[in-house]
Amino acid sequence: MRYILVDRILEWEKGQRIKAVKSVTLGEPFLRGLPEYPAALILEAIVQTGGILCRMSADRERMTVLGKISRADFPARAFPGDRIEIEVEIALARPEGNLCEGVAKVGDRVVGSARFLLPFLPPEMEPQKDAAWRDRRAKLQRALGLPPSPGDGSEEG
Amino acid sequence: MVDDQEILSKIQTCVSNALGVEEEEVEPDKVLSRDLGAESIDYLDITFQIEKAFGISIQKDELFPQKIFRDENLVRDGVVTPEGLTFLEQQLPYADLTEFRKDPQMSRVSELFTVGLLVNYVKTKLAA
Repeated sequence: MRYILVDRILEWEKGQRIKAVKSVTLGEPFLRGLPEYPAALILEAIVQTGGILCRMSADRERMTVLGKISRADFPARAFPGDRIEIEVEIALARPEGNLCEGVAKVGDRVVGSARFLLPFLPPEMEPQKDAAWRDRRAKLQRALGLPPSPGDGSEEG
Repeated sequence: MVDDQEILSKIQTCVSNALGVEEEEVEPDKVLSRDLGAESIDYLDITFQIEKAFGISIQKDELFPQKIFRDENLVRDGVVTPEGLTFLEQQLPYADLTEFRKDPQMSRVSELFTVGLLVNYVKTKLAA
């Protein structure tokens, strides 16, 4: 099961903002038996989008974790067939991590918004960045429409 | 010149925003963790809030020094060593260590971080 809940990165500015899209289909494994896309997964998609921005904005490649959700609202629902656009901004940045604010919309309808903290993992807690890890990262970046990481060009094929 | 009451008022808003508590609960003698429910990630949130509210830049580990929790020279067998006390004095010149010195248990370090400490920190920072 794919746990990246973002289909494509549409645009991003380092250290500033990012825009992504998620299309909700009937084939979603998470949707079996549910009439609507769960709010928790909209929140997860917002946070994942913020994590992608934070990792790409760091001076060296860092990994983030979700530290805290300060606020989350889900004023409307999302359904199969909806195209959810997610925008996240880095509201405040520090060496330890970033404070982000994100909103998810279907057209003009807000289906989720959140304020959350994404601290960077201490280097000693990061997974080993071996060839298999770099390969997975490269595949994910291609799928999301992101440029390859520095030094990964030859592995991109 | 920002007076003490104005600083306290802004700190109350910062802590209230970060911890989801009422501003009236955020009194100077309240310990952030024990009395107001702050967890480790909340200290980062409070740092963000203070930076924004006062327009100041807070260096990593400046307000909430993490080294005390990691350095074996500073803490031994659950007790803050003389070197650790010197470190805390230097790192937190605006903290009142009088009571802490009497029983410098590591578990009591978090009790140093009160609302009043935040006010004193900002006062020191704005006066610099």
